Amino acid sequence: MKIVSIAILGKKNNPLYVYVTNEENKRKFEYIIHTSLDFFEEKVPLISPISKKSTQNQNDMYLGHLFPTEDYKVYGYLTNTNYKLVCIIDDSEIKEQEMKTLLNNLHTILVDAICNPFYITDEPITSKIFHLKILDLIGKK
Amino acid sequence: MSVSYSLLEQIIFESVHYVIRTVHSQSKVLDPEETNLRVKIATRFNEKEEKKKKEKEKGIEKDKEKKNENENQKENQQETVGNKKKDQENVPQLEFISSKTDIERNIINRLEIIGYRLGERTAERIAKNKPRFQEEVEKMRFVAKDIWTELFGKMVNNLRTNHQGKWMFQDDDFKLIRNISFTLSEELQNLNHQQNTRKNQQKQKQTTTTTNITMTESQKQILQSYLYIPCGIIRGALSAIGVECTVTGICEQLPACVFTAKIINKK
Repeated sequence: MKIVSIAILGKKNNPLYVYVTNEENKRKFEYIIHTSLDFFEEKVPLISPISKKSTQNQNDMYLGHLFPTEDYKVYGYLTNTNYKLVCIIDDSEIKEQEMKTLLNNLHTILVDAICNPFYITDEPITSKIFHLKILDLIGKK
Repeated sequence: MSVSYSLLEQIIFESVHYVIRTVHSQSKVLDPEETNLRVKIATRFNEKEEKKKKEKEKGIEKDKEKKNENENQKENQQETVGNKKKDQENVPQLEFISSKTDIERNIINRLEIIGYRLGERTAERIAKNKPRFQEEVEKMRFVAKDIWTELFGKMVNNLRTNHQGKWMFQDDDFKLIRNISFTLSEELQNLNHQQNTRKNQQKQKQTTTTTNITMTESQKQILQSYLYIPCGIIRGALSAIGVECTVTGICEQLPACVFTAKIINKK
């Protein structure tokens, strides 16, 4: 499993943090992340009342028609406080449990970053420690 | 100096007011911060005008107050009748207290923002492990139960609504103001009077355990300043969940206070 990109979007769908492993394709992944926003809105009203805490909408966006050379899987995670976490993966073999734990850990890291008293809400996250933690998270898997 | 400063302020307020009116007259949706700003500017403007009128009458009122203080000292030995007269005599003093200066408003804003950020961050931490909120009721209950237990060790005692966007959080023993005591001489005399009445009440009812102290208007004004942070906490927690509102807090009897949240509906 190879994580290609991780992004965190705020309540007004503004990008708070975008990380791409391959810097050359950054624009492309930003575009993919942007298009995934529609899927967040689609999936939310379909949640049954007895659902899990934060939806894990699995967007299998096979971008065959847009990028005939590559396949990506885009996973989304909507927190209770309307933060959207997006994770783009290069491989096709992933256990759902792994992705869940990954996004869960990402959520804890995000909460730690938000609790920083010097952090202003709805601003891009520029903390170095946050960046290092995410690199750690990706490096493990 | 004071005259020219007030003129300058007037000019600034008028221009800001004009700008807000022209710029935002076209937009249908107003940010709650901006509406608050508008209200604040409007109230400040009115208070400025009232202040000017009062300054003219200041000379006359000072004499009146001195007379009232003398009367108060004589009447304190009486019971309920004396207190009623005191409240009435305190009315001109009230007007001075309620017209807040720039510095006070600034402080109130800062306190509220402190509470707001606190509320936001605690809500983030706690909501991480909670199931998704489906309805408004659940969100209010989240604040009333989870955030209150996290910050104050107990839940809100009573959560009410008028089903029209207004929610009231009543805490009968609010931790932040529980141990406040007033040490002004007037207040001590007040307390003595109240202890006498309380002894009579205790003979009749032996079930009440919390000692609720009723307060005069001036005490309530002083206590108001302690309630801005919790108001901000509620507002921050709710906005983190996605409910925009304005929160005000009132304390009627000393350990018990009520926070009302009015939800702002964006159309």
